[in-house]
Amino acid sequence: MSLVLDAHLAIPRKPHCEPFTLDVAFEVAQGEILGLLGPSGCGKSMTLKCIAGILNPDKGKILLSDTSLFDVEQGICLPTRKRKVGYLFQSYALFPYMTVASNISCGIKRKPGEKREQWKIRSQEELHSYLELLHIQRFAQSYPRQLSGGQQQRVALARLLASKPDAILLDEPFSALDAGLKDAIDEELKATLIKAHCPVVFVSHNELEIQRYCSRTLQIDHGHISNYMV
Amino acid sequence: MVDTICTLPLVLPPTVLGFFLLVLFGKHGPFGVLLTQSGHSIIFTWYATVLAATVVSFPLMYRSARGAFEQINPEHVWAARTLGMSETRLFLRIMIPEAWPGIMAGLSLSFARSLGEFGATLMIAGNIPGKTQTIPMAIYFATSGGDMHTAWIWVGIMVLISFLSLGLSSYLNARRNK
Repeated sequence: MSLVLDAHLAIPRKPHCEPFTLDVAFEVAQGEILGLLGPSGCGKSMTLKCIAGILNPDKGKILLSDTSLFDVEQGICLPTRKRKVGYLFQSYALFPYMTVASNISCGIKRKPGEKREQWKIRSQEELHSYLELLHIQRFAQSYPRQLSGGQQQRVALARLLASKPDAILLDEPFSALDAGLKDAIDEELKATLIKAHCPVVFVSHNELEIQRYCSRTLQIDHGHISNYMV
Repeated sequence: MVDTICTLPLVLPPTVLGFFLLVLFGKHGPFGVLLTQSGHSIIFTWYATVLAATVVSFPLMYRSARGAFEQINPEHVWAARTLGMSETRLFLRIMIPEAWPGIMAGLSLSFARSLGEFGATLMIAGNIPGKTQTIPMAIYFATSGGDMHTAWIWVGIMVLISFLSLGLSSYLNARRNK
């Protein structure tokens, strides 16, 4: 399983402003964490949005293992819900009117041909395994607003993993956390991400963060890859 | 265009609305003809009071609900899609709950507006005691007929209903935000 991306996207800005163009290409292997580093507004998040199908490039293609997610020449553009791409939003985007347990259960889909009862039992079991994996059993019946930033991040990650994605996208996952907390959850998060066995793209403006997590890093400036760091 | 038509009853005088409804649903109006053929009639029955109240209060519901849906955090919508949720489930489980306070606000506003509806109702339903007489209508005709006792009773009932509905909606909101 690997993620291949070659995307070109021009966004016309307001008049009197230079148009912004995004032009990036990279490949991420299974189990690899690729870092995208750059200042805000450089196009890192836009790249993730293209992979998830929130934005569509003008040219290029996006491949996830053998599936074409997007291909201009072949006229392919899978809708977001069929892409199996997990997206961790900067603000975590937890559903405010649902408990932690319901939030995580949202990602557990009914398999084709599976009976309703079987699905319910399986989703209970899976819910508990993810609550345990991220040490959030205590909060299962809490609402997101009752949790701290770090706890919310864990819930968002549990929800993402529960949807069994084929690729994981992390958009500034630590920007909402205190410095002390960042270090505390570091190693564990990294281990969890590697255990997921899929390509991971990690976006940040913080070089230290990127170095800790990623084996390979691309620096992005004004929508273009300007530097390649191993 | 649709937006304008849906909002129009908010700014049009109720009598003008009543006039249009009368033209549309009257014996020779396009809907009226259809209704007559199927053996029904709306004008000067209690259905007309419902129709008038619905049309007049609709923009309040429409605008509150629209505003509520526009306020939904787009990241929640995208997050649901990346989790593989279908559009129907997304609507029922994410969008409706998030827009719910706005929908309830629209409901209580339009309910209050319907209760007070006078102009359009008078135009198409008239004031037939026991048949199409609404509370505001009863208050008006009791007062103009000098029957202050009856008017006071209806005024009291109206104030009570308004208080109860406001109280209910704020109670529901408080419970939600607990």
